[in-house]
Amino acid sequence: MAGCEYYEKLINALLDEGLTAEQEADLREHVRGCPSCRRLLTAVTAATRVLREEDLAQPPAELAEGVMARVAAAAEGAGPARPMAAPEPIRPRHSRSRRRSPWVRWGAAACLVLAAGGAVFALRGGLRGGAKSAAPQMAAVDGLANGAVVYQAAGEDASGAKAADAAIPEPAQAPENDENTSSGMDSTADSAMIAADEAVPEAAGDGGAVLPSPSPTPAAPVIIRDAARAEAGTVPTENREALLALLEGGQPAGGTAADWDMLFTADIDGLTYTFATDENARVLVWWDSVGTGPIRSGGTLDDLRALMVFAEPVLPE
Amino acid sequence: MTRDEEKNLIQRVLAGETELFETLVKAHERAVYDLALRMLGSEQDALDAAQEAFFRAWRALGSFRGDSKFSVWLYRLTSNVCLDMLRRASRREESSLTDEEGEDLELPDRRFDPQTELEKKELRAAVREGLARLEPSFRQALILRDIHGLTYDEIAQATGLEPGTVKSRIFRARRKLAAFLASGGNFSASGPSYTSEKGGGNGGRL
Repeated sequence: MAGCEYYEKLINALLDEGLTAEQEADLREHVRGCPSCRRLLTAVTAATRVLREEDLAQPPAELAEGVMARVAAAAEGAGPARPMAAPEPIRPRHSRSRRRSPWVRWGAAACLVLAAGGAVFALRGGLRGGAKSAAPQMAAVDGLANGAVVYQAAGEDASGAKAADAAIPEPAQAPENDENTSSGMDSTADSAMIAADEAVPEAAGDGGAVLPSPSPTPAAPVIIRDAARAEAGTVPTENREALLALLEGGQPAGGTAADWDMLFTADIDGLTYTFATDENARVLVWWDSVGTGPIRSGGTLDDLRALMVFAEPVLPE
Repeated sequence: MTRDEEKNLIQRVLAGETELFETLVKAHERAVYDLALRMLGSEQDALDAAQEAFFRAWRALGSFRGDSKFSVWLYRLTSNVCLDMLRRASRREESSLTDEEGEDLELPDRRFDPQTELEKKELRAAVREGLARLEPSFRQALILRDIHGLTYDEIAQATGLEPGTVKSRIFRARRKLAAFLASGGNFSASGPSYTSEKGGGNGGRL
């Protein structure tokens, strides 16, 4: 006779695809003599019935209005809308040390320090709280393996301050137009730092109703550390939404992280995204623990590179 | 709206008729908002998340190839937004059902066979409370399966998980929910969950 584990699976199947007559009789027979499975059966059946009777919540009218206001603002070339909410303080990098082992394995160490919504986060020794209003301040980032290039970007000097100073509004195009930045591939450090000021007045005005308490601090661009290829660069602020769209909009892909070549990582809004590419130059992205989070393919390597502008690495002291 | 009509609409939005995107929003806002509300537990957060998800959908509309249903694609975007928000909040607040798996179900069966309207109402409240206390990935799976009625394959598409993983996750989520109901809804050892302010603590007293 099968164990309770088998009957628990039958209970679950009962709620979904259903059981054959034999399975059902088998289950019924089992629960008669097994109080534990009987309780499970009654509890999950009751809970599932309640859930299936739940009505969907009615959204407020301002939902669609707010979406269309943001869409209209972005479509008019007023620049990308702001991130929906001010970012929460970011979990320090070292709390996710599990991510390191694959890097060691691949020896393709690469880090990316990401600035979002006016906050600049450090990969290591990160700001523990109140990051929102903090001046750009990046901790030294060390390579993770195999003598990876070590970069530093402190707020007072190097790319952080440069990026903030060079924040130039660039109102023309919606960020998903790759042509907008594809020429940036060969950019020098200076042009790499051209970044849109996220606080474009028109966009802020239109979006004011739906975007809670816009921060007066302009967001800094995403800053890339790609040690494996000794390149450092940025994803300009005006491309931030497009980058997120690329990350979030992809189709799920099978396999595990070990199947692909690593490119680099990006900390975005507190999540570490890992980028990889497959043999067709599709960009694969996942987050959460390396290799266990959802893996998606979103665009091609060219799509991704088009969003970035590369600069010389800032060498450590 | 049929799938073809939807496809057509998407093409027109991509071709520049931006205002038609509102039709797509209206067609799916209830599903998106409901998922966000149940994931986040607050109407304001749900509104923010739903708007963010739709905005990202608009941004990424060109990459929607129609391999999955548009609604499933939206579920994925919404889930990502919600999980991101929860992840950011998770350092401050712990959900409570994390360690309760396998808890023996000790209470009489009749607790789950409500006879009166009041008992039904209490059971419903307890289920909602238990759902809100599940850890996010389990909650997400149960919401999509049992409230929104997605198939396992659709949930796999919406979460990026393998169908087998979806199945075991739903199985474990149901176990946890059942254990919560059986315990009387008093998993207070690890502190209030982030949704506890709206749920009240009387979940399991049936």
